[in-house]
Amino acid sequence: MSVQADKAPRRSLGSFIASQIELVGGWSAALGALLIIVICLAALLAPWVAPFDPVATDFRARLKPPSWAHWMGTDQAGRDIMSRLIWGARASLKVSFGAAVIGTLLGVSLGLAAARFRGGIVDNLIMRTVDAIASIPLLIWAIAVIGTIGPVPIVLGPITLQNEDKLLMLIGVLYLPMMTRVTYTVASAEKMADYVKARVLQGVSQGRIMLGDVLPNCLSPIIVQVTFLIAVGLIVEAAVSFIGLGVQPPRPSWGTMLADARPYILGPEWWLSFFPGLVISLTVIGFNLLGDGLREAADPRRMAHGA
Amino acid sequence: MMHMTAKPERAPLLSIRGLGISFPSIYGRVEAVRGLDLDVGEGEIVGLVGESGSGKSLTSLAVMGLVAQPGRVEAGEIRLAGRDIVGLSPKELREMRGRDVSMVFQEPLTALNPAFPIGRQLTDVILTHRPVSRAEAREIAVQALTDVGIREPRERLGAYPHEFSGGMRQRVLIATAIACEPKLLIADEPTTALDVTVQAQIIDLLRRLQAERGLSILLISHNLHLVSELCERVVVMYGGQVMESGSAEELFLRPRHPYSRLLQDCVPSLDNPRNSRLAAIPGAAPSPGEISAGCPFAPRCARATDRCTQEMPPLAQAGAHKVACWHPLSEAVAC
Repeated sequence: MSVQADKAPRRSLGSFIASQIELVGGWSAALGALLIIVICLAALLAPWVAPFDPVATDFRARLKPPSWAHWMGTDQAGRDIMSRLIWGARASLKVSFGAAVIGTLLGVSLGLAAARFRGGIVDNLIMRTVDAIASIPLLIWAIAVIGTIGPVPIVLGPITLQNEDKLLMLIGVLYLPMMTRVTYTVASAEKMADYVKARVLQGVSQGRIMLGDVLPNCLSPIIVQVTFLIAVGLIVEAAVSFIGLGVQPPRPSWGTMLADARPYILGPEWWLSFFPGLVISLTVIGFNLLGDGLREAADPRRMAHGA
Repeated sequence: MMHMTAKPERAPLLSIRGLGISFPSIYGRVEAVRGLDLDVGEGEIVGLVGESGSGKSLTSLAVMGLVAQPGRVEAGEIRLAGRDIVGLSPKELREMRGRDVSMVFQEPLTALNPAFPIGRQLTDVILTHRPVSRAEAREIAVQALTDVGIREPRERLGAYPHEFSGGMRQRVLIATAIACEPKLLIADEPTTALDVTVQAQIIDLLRRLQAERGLSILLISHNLHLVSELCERVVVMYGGQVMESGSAEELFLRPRHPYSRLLQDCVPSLDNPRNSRLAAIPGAAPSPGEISAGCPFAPRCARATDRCTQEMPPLAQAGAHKVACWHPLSEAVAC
C-alpha cells in the first residue's frame, strides 16, 4: 500500500492552478478574481506601493500627462493620479464591501424570517417593506438621504462617522430588497424539500431547521448575489462621490477623482478621467466575472457533469 | 381462531380511538378520517392498507401530531404509551417526534440534506433528543448504521447523501429514525421508490429491527404483498374508515369485506392465465366530500343494497376478523 502511495504522481503546480480555476468557474472568473486580488492588495498596501503622497500638492507639476515620474499623470493640484487611485481604492472598496456585508446580514436574516413565516403577517410585513424600498431606485435613495442629512461627519460620543461610513450603512440598507428577495425565493423553495419534512419528523424546531438546514442549501445563490452587490456598491459610491455627497475632499476616492476631472472632460487632459474610469470599470467587471463564474460553478446541472 | 383471541394480551403501545380528522371545503367541513380505531401492540407490525385518498397517510400524520392547517383533529384520542397526544403543546409534540415515534417515508433520494455528511445528520437528531456528548452521539450513530446493515459505518459517517444509492439512503433514513430508540416506527410506503431486490432487503431490515429491538412498526402501504409479507395484523381503510381488520394471514386467505377481496384481485399473480385481464376495481375512490351517510364503498360494490347506501355498518366481529359490512363474504371463500 505504502509503495503505491509513494509512486502516486505528485500534482504539479500547473494542475493545482487549473483545478483552482475550475473551482471558481473557468478562465473568465479566474481573471475576475485576479483583478479583484490585485486591486485589494494595492488598497491594503497603499502606504508602500503608492509612489507619492495622495494629498500632497505640487503646483509646478499641475496637469502633467503620463510620464516616467507620474505613470498616470497629475491632476489640477499637481497630485499624482496613480497614488490617489491606490489610496482611493481604500475608500471605494470599504464602502462597497462594508455595504455588502451589512446588506447580506440584514437581507439574509429577513429573507429567512419571511420564508419561515411564509404567508403570515411577518412574511407580508417584511416583503412589502422591501417592495417599498425597491420602488425607488437605489441611486436616488442614496442621493436623497445623504442630501437630506448632509455630507458632514456625525460625532456620536467617541465615534466619528465620516460621510463614507454613513454612505456604507445607507447602501447596506438599500441592498435589502435584492438580498431579501434572493434569500426568500431560494429558502421558500428549499423549505418544501423532503429533507425539511424529514427534519420536522425528527422533532427539530422550525427555527433550527431554517438556520441549520435551509440556509446552508441557499448559500451559493447568496454568495453569487454578494459579488454583484459589491459591484453595484462601487458604482453607487462613485456616483454619489461624483456629485459631492460621498467621500469628502481632500480624501481621495474613485468617484471624487472623476468629479475633479469633470471641468477637463472636453479638454486635452484625458488622463484625469480615463484612469479613474478605467479602474472603476475593471473592478466592476472583475466582480461581475467572478459572480458569473461562481453562479455557473454552483449550478447543480453543471456539477452533475463534472466531478 | 383460538390463537387469535390470545393476541390482545399485549398492551397496545399505540391506541387510536374514534379518530376524526376534517378539512374545510366547499361542502363545509369534510371528514377525511371518521371514527377510526387502531391499535399497535408492543413489538407488533401492523399494516395499514388502502387506496390513495383513503386517509391512511393522514392517520400517520395525526400520530406524529402533524395534521397541517387547515386540517384539524376533530374527535377521538391517540394514545402513545398511555399518553394522549391530541392535546399536547407544539413543544411537547416536537420532543415526542423522533424520540418516542419516528417516521420514514417514501422519498429516500431527497429526504437527506444534501449539504451535510450523513454522520452529522445522524448525530444532530441524537443530540436533539438524548442527553449525550458529541462523541457518544457518534457511537450511537455508528451503532444505528451497523444495525441497518451499512458496512464500514465509521468510514461512511463522513459521506454525503449523493454518495449513497437509493436503497442505502433508505437505510440511512431508517438509521436516523431508530437512532433515538423510539418505541414506534411509522413507515409510510418505505419501499415504493426502490427497485424490487432493494425492496426485499428493506423488508428484511424492518423485520430484523422488530425482532432485535422490539420495535413496533405501523406500515402504511397500498402494496398488499409487502403488507402480507411483513405484518401480523392488517387494517384495511376506505374513505377514511376501517373496512376490515384481522390477522394478515386470515385477511388474505379469507377476506370478508368485498373491498378487501377486490384489492386482492388487483394484485397480478403467476397463477392467473397469462392473457387474462388484470382486475381493477370499477369506479374511483370517493373524494371526502362525496361520502354520504352509508358505506363509502357502496357505489362501487357489487353486493351493495339500499341499506348500504343509507346506513354505515359497524365494525363487528365476524369470525377471526372485524369487518364493517352488511353483506360480508362467507368465510368459506378461499383465494
